[in-house]
Amino acid sequence: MNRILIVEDEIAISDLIKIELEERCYICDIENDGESAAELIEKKNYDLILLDIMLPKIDGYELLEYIKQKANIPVLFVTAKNQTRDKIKGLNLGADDYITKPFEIEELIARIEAVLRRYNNGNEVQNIGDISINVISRTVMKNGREISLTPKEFDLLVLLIQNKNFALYRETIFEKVWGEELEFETRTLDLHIQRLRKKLDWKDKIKTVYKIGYMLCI
Amino acid sequence: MKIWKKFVLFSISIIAIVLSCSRYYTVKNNFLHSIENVRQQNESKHVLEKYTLENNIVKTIQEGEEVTNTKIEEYIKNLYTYMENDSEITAVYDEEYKQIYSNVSKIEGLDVKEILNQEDVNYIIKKINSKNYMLFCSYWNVDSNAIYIVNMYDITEIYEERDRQIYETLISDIVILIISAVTIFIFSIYLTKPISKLNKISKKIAKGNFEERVNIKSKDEIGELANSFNVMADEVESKIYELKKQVKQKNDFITGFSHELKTPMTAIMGYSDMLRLKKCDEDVTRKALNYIYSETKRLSNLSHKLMLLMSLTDEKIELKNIEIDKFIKKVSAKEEMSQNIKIEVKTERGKVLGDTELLECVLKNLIENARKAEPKDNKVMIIGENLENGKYRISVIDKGKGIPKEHIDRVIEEFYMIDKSRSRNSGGSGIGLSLSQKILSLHCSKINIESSVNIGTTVYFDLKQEEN
Repeated sequence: MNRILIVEDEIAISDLIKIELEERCYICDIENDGESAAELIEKKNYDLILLDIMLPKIDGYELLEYIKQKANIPVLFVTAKNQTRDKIKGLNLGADDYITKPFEIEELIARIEAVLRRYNNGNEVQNIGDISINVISRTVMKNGREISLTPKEFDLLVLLIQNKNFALYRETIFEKVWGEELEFETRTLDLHIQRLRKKLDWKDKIKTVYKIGYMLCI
Repeated sequence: MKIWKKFVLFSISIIAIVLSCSRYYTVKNNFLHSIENVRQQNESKHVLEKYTLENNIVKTIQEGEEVTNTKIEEYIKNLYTYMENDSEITAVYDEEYKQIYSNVSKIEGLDVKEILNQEDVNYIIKKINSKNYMLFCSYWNVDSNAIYIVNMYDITEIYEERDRQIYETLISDIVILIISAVTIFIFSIYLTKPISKLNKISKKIAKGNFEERVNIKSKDEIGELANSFNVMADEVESKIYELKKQVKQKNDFITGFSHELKTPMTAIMGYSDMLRLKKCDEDVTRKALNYIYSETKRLSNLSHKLMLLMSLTDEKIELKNIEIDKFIKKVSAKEEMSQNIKIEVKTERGKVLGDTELLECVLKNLIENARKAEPKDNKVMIIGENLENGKYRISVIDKGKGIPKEHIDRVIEEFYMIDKSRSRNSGGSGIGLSLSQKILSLHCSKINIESSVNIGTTVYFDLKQEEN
């Protein structure tokens, strides 16, 4: 399990990230200012640090330099500063990625996973149950055999895995996978779910939740 | 071409022209004068010789002897026995211009007619065998035969003297020109040095080094120019500084504003997305909804203040009479309730000119700031007093954290926060003070801050009283 430190002075946002990350089985600590974050980094080991730039006492840039001197911990900037020169500065100082507020939590999760994959020597393959899924090559393997999925089926599978063990609302699933391309059409979603169940042989794992939608149980 | 080069070239040309003209004139006059002197001398000699010869011939005729060429030769030889002179050549010709006598063997290229044909003068100057001669010619008739006598006087010396003068003046002129060229060069370098200095500095300024100044102390036009240049540079520098400051303030405003906007938006988006995607448990749902509510309120508060701030720009407001002591008490009572802090009010009676709504906003902001300074006694004091200059002063005093000295001047700027997390946690938006400042400037007043760290802060402003 990965340990993540969130350095963010906005409690609302740090709480939000913490809730979302803990659902995805990360262990999170929150610090509200640069100084106490530096102290915590001294004491504990983290797999990744989410860093705001505008922080009280020590700002994000300074803290980043301190972190990079100390250990090779991946750092992801989460900040309201969206000017190109801020991004360049952050990345040049050694940040592994840069995401600007306001962001969607899925994007943040995806970027965190991407950075972690890079640090785990290109281990972009995730094993869930009896299938292994590679989000880079967008391939799914079951018992060593490749299963061919349509792009939408693949996106749907990734969303379910990201939110595993949570009941997801039909409308929101549809919106996140199909975006604004189509009007909400429950039959389209139901059909894709059925195809996924059949292709992966996950009839019992992808559950229908009454009045809500679907849930992936692992 | 550089100015010093132009200057040197121009002056040297002028000097050279003037000098050579005057030299030419002097040398020429000297020469003409000498020629004239020599002419007079030689002419009288020639006339003398002519008469002597003529006398001799006349005598010969009177004595009844025949005048022969041999006789003439004899006479002249006699003449020259006491008039021996190398520089003088005498020749006698008969009427067919045949030479009867000459004291030198042969005179090349001499034409007697040429001399006789002269109009104004009775001589010519001729160069023979690299020597200059002055030639005179006269004739008289002897028995209806003409006899010509030609005298050539060597005047090479005069020419040599002229050449010597030309040579000498040439040498002295060259020396004079060299000396003046060097002098003018040094002088023009001295004159143009400040100009090149100015040039160098202005180039530097053009490149963006606005703090560069010219250091020229002279009291002439260049000194004045340098002075005005410096004044201009001062002006430019201060304007640039002002512009930079404005740009920086604007950037700071945008950065602050976008941060203030994006942070609550991120939270609201994140929590609402979480709620609509999945079925969360009761605790998480409540937490998310609370955050959504408080962040929305923060946004609303910000937009309200921002709108007020914008609407106040350049707008004239109508000032009315306010019974200020009653007004302060009213606002304090309201804020005591809503902000949950004790407010102690000490006011003298007074009537000021102002806008109640806007002044309430100022007072509310100041009380809020005082509360956020976390006063040790959890109390805010408001004092209203009449000043000697006829104004009414309202002070809001807290015994809280205080403001570090280096921040006092900047706390009024939009979105300027000394410690972001603290003011955020207590619900600040960062534009309260700048809004208050703007409102007070419409009342012809401003915010004054006195503060020391860990002792407390006093914020006060003066309002105009109603004139009785």
